[in-house]
Amino acid sequence: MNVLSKSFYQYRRISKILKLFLIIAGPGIIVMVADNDAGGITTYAATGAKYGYDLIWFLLLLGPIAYFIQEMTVRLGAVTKRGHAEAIFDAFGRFWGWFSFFDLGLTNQLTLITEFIGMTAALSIFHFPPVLTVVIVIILMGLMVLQGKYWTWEKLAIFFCLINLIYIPAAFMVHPSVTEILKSGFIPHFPTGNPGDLFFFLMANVGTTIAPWMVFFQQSSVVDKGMKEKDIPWGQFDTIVGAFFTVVVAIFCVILTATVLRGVDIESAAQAAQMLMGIDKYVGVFLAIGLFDAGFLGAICISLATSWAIGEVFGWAHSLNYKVREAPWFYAYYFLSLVIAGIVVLWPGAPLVLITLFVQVIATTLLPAALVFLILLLNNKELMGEYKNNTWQNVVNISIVIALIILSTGYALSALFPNIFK
Amino acid sequence: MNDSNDSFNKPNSFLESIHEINEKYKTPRIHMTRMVRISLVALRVYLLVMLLILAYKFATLVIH
Repeated sequence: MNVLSKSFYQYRRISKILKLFLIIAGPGIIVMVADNDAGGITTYAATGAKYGYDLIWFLLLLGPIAYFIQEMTVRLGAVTKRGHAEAIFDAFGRFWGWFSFFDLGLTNQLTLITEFIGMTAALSIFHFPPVLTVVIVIILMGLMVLQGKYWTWEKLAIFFCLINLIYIPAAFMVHPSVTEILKSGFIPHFPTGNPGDLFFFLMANVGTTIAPWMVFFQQSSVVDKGMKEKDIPWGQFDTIVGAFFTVVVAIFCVILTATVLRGVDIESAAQAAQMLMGIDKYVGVFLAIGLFDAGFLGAICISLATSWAIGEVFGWAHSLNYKVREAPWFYAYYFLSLVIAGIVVLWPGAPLVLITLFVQVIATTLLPAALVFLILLLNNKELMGEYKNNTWQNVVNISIVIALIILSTGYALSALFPNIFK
Repeated sequence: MNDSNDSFNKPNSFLESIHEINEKYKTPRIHMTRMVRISLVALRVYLLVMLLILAYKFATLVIH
């Protein structure tokens, strides 16, 4: 009887914690899973095909890196009740405010175009014409926000995050060697070959881990959700869960292409899906669905990040809890950014390759600023009070920020000048 | 949830809004410690270098 009552008590306790987590969970999981966007999936697919399982251990390191950066946005948003764009204007003045604002707008719009490229390429495998894909995406994304509740939008976004886990069954379907994965994937080592190529792939994987929009998105999302200081531990746990999922998805994507496409030079995830269709139809279909979902998740977060930033800076109503008539400018920009991205992708002869190349470079001009501002704001006692960074957090976070700036700058330079590190 | 500001929902003019923002954020509120100053100078130098590299790349693309 005693055992039974203890078990029942434990069950009630765990179910209560789980229910509370499901209420609080959202921004961390969404931003982390959306980090595996169309560009990210292409990077992982190419990494697996090029180096097999050899770089899985490196992907494991990226989870904590993403967590430590994004965790700061949870504290900053919950304490200041301000998005990152507004926080920069307020703390650093108009020069840095306008710089971050315009750079974010440009970077996000270009990244949004690359998400649309990924989505149209993914659905073209199922013979969907690009125009139909663009229309479906805009309608779906419109329906997600127009219902006027942040909570509903968040749970719908989490549903799309779950679809991102499709790479797990896909990887199992190609029967990878578990022994080989454990032997070559989880023991840190650098594979042989051209050091320049290896450096490029390492930088590309780091480059996809933290993007400027993630910092802006999660902070605004925390504010829109109405999280308070007491919710910070839950927000941190939400971010840990998200970081775990983003690494799991990345690893299974690498396992998938490492098992069946080893030695193939992959230029896009859509190309990998096409190739997989020839090997195993269902695996190819899974990869294509995953690619579409990755682009979709990226697109919903990026377009919202910009809309929130515009609302914050101009003082316009900017919440998913408002109806269209209450926040017309917020929704107007949201749709405008989607329509612009759709038109560019459908435009005959649009310089899509050039856009894909320059998006990383332009993002690199914003990333150091966003990260440095994050560290400075988190060290401001007046602003953060007891939630400011402690010494240990500063050592970890500043080291990560310096490493991220060096590696993402290296990646941007090698994108501009392909032979620079060879 | 964020508070809406009705006056901003119907802006008089875009330029007026820009002017208001510039006035509102004229002075940085953060205390300019040595760490903040060094970080901001380093950021300016970094951005200038990146801008020059981008300009060079564009120039060489146009020439070729």
